[in-house]
Amino acid sequence: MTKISALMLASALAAICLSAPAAAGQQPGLKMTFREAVIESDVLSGPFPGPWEFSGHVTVSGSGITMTCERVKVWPTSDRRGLARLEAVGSIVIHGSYRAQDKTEWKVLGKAESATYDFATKQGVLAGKVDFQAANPVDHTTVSVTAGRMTYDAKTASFRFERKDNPVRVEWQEPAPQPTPPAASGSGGAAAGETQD
Amino acid sequence: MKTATLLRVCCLLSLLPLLGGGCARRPAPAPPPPSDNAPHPFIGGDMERSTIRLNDPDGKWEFEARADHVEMSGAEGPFILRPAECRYQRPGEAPVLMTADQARIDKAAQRLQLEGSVTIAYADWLLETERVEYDLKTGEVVARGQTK
Repeated sequence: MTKISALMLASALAAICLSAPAAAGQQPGLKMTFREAVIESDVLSGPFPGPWEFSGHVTVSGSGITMTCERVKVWPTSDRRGLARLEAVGSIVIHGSYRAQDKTEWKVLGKAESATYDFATKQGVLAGKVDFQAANPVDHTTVSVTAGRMTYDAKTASFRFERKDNPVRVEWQEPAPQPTPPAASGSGGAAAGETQD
Repeated sequence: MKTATLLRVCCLLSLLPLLGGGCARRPAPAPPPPSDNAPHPFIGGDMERSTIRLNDPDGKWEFEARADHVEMSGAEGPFILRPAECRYQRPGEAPVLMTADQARIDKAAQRLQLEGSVTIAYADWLLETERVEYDLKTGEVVARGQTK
């Protein structure tokens, strides 16, 4: 049972990752290419050289991750050659691939109310009813986390989940070894827990 | 009978001014001598391979647009350029380079509209869209794409 649900989650994540750019049924009409990322949307406003605000069917993609949202504002670096900061609000959905410290590849899907990314510190934050899921398509392990805030440090490839308004809940499911021992009890390799941050 | 005669006389009298002045157009009055303060006599027209330049009086920006074909309706514009290559620069900053199927320059309002396959390049950044409105005074840009 656990293996089936893990497989289903992995398949669902893979399907979302493949179909997400066209998920809304419409593709945004303008595209701005930065060194670090590509942003597509319906409307852009702001002066050159920034900051700019993108709105309507916003898609931000870069480093194997794609984020869709309602509105995003980006600030350039002081030398105006790159991006310094990004702030997104409204129906945040992040999906893509994540390479863990142990070199394993994961398909990830995150949802939140707002998101920020600091290009200098390489730290990203999802905030407000965070729902984060990751699936390893090779061994079918899945991780599902809900929290009030999630911080991702790209330098250390580490995640931090905080309670804020929502208790942190982590579910870790590993496929049961084959063949499944007949005497095994409970939910196989599944584990769930709630923390107070 | 008397009425018919009266009508003929009236018709002849109404034709007298025309006969006196002749049927040809009257000669235009002599133009005033040229003066530095006189308005530009230019009315409008088309130009090939032209360059339009605008400069902020305070030196905060410079704008230049080139096109194979330019239509204009007066010295102050608006100028319609097809296809257009534009360059906008503020002192100490990288130039903003633009291309579009069509550019409309409103010299008085210091505004630029770009339409059709618009690209705007600044440093390492590239914007691709269908329509841009550029306020040359403030440098503010509003770009709208055509959702596909």
